[in-house]
Amino acid sequence: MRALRPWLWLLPAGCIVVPLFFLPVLFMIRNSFWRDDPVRFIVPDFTFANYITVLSDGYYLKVFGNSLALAALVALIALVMAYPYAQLITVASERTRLILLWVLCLPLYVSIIMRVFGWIIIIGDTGLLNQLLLKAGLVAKPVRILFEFEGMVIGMLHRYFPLMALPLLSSLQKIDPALLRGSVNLGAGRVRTWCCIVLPLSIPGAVAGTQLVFAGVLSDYVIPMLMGSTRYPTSAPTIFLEASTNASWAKAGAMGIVLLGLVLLINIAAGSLIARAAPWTGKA
Amino acid sequence: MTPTAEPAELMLREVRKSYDGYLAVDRCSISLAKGEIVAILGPSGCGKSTLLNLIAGFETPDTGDVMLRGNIINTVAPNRRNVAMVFQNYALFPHMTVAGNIAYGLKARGVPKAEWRPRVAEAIALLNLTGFDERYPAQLSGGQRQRVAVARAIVVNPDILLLDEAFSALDRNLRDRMQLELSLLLRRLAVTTIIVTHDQHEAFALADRIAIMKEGRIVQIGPPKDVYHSPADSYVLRFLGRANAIPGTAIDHDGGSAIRVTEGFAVPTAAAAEGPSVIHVRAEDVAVSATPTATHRHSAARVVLVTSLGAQQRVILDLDGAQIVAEIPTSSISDWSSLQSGMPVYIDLRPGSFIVDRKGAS
Repeated sequence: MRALRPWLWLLPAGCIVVPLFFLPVLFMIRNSFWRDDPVRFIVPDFTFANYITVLSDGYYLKVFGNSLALAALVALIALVMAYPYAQLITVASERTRLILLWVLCLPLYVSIIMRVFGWIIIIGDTGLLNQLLLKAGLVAKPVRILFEFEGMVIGMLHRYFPLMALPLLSSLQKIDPALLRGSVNLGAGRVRTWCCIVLPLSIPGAVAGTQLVFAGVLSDYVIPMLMGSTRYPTSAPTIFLEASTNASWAKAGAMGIVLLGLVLLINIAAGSLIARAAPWTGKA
Repeated sequence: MTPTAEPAELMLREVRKSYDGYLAVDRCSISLAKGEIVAILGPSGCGKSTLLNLIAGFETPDTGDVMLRGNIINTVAPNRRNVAMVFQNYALFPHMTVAGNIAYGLKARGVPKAEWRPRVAEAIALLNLTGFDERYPAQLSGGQRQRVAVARAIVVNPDILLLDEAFSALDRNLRDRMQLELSLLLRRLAVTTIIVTHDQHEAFALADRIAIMKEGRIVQIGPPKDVYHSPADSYVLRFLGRANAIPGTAIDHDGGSAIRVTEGFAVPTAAAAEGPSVIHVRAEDVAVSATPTATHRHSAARVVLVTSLGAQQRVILDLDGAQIVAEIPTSSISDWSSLQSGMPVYIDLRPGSFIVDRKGAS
């Protein structure tokens, strides 16, 4: 009984997570090994066929490849943008820091739909940006951004940037200022101090942010649907399409599990990346 | 400025630094010869850390000069000064090994690998860190971390070595051992060193000269025994050692003056004194006797408590309501029976060992 006591703390969270997350995932795993049937919907007929299709058919492979490439690109851009932003927050005055933090977190407070509408006004064919470009005579006809790959990337960046910047900020703030003084005192200039002290010590935050952004983009449904192009299909809308329009719950389940596996794999890879790139974190 | 043939290795000339109207360092002057070790001693907030930051280059003086071998370096960037610092909590780079930490300063100076490798190895051997090269700071003990911090600083052959409360993180025994070790090492290498500390034992264990700071100013500087035995004022006396503040009144006495503490206990003083006064005297300069003394003739003090400090006995006395602490060498006590709680004793202050202030002056 005493051994069980610590686990009691998990009860409230468990009441939600177990029935609403673990059980559906278990159903999905089960479904993924069953067979879609045009008449009887889904039949309990154990088979690997769904996985074989999903992992060998060129279309599905392309969908997963698209998602991975998109996630990698968004994570990379977010990382490059987040470093200067987070660094600025660490050196800013109290007042400026609060404003920058507020701006950073703002996308988390505003509904995704509202944000997409905002982007439509800005980057749509007749939007603000194109009108300015046309007026300035820089382009002859509107640049197509919305409902293209580019629009999707912008939407993803807007949605997931805080998830990159916040962990990064946290690890930058944890760096003891004495280390920077120590570095300077030993003869290092600003550039060397940043490259040799700040950058390596912020790796755990950068990896954590990359993991969050990667996983988020990989399984994002709303942004590709509202801002993307059907010429660049990604995994989450495709899974939805399989399940709803094609009524292929088994295949959709298999795709979902593959996606889950990808995220899991990426997290494991990130863990071993930290162990290799930041070996000091595990030592005590 | 002292007339020397060569300019001092390090010299501060009338250095002043204030923050938002608060004067942290007020016209401090100090000069160090090559290889000299000077300790700056004072309570927290006295400006000693600011002084160190001015020398390291993390701060720029408002007025006055910081000079290295005669060259004014007031505005030279900290990374362009050859001044190495051992930080209070060492500031070791957690993501670098011992060897990486020690090599850092040499790499930053652009020393080629063929040259820095043997120098790092030498520093590792010098500080008894052999075999720990590839450890990370988190895997080291407190003493080892301090050795790494020292190795990292001295490996660059600094003109000036700065130690900022470098022993405060160590426990007592280890601290004593490290102080002895470092004191020998610094003399062997003849590194010009400034130690900043609030711990008088550390200052006395390491330094050739000690500067006592108070509210941004250096109130006294000199060899440890001079500073200890001839304190410039009651502040220095009280800061070094366990001191009593005995209230009394100035009176005329045999043509000179004396401070009367109680009826029948008047301490003659060379300095002119007037009105209500305070006698500052260290516990070890209070003599305790079972019989009346030259200055303490009647109405004895009473022993309240005797505690043993090992080599010394600390005797807490009550003198007409005033508490006086005396420390007597254990080996000098022949009559223990008079050192019992409640026993009457007479006290005497070692001539020249005390400082008299006007009441309320300090």
